[in-house]
Amino acid sequence: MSLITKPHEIELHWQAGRRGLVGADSDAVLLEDKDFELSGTSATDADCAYDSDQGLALETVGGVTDYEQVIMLPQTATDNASLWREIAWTTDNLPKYEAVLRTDALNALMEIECGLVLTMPSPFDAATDDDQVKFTYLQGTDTNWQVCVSVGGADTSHDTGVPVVASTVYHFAIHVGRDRIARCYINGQPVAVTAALTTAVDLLPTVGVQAGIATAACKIYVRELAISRELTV
Amino acid sequence: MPEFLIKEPDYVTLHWNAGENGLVGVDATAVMLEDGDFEITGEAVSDADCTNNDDFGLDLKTSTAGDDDQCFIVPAAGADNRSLFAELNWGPENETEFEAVIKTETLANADVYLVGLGLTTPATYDAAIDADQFMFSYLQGTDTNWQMDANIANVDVTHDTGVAVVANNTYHFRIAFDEARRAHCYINGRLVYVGNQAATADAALKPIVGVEAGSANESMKMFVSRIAMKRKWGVN
Repeated sequence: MSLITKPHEIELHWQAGRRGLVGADSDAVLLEDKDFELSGTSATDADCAYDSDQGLALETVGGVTDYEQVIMLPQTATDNASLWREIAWTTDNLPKYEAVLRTDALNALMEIECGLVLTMPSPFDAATDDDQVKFTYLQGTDTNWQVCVSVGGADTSHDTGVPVVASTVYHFAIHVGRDRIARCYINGQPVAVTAALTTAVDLLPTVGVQAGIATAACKIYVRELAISRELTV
Repeated sequence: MPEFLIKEPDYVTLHWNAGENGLVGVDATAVMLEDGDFEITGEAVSDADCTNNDDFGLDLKTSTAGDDDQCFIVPAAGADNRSLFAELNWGPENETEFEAVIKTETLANADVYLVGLGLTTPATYDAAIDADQFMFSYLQGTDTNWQMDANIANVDVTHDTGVAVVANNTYHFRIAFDEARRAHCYINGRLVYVGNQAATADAALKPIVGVEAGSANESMKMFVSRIAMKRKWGVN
């Protein structure tokens, strides 16, 4: 059996905490994770912590302002060159994105987002990015996970039918095919099929949580991320 | 059904290749080029006790300072080297699995080999000190075979595995807890011991691999190639 089993693909796996905590500006701290960094409204290093049973906890600070966020995006700094950003996860190259997350308490108006995007605006919304495919949940509005899709500025939302439950683990997957249609899965089950995504758009993998009101710190746990694409000839 | 990238979303698995991320030092917090996952500890241990071996990963070697010199690999405890081997809870209730590949060297006077899951690394190995542990052990001059020192809440059982300890020989050790927290222990793929009662829930077990010399004038050596750990993620 070959050591390199898929020579025409590149596949990255990220284990939460394997290379340290995720920091707000990890280019300054060599012992922090080099692949991802924290961003978002009021996000600081203190918002990421180990949990001995659940992976890494991402928790908004609480008490500062409405819509506090903790977002994981690939490193932007030039000295921490993360392959998660340096590789273009282009819609035409069969990108696959997966994440294993665990919810915590579902606090008033909190939001959870996870998927492939261009940006993570403050506050989260479906309209800012012209192109994206992401799983979303807004407490008080949604009962189930939603798949939010933007194609060239045209936004649609699809109810997956999978309920969002506190303290529950979810395995999210977005697999984009040759036809640029994204097939979305939760816990191994197909939950949405999108329209064809815009050609030649480079998307970024992300996971984020946003508090609805300043008084409530909101938390999710991140366990594992994975991404792949075909290599071009 | 599509082929998912994440094959086992309910489990976390860590693999450590000896030397891949540098030598294992006595205080990995101080040296950023050393291995960040593990550090070496024990009586009279120093950075010089761990070296690369071009055929078998890393050498662990005791000094010749006194009796019972030691060289054990344990997860890095420093706050700035955040080792996932240290940060995760490896309690038996998580269906924890541990594996290690080591090679013996010369079996000299009263030396001790240890490979397994324990709580501490006491100066002079004593199977009775840790209230909870599952440790493959060998004391030269006393044992012919690998022993399994299985302690559950201070009830200590030592089981002779029947597998001979031979100089310059490679061994693949495995300890796996089942849903009922019973330990299943293997050497080179052969089942050698099954615990007859549940191990203590929430016991803060950690992987320990190393060697202890029996006398001051002998430097004892063990070769380490790989360590792997796996557990179920917490449900609630």
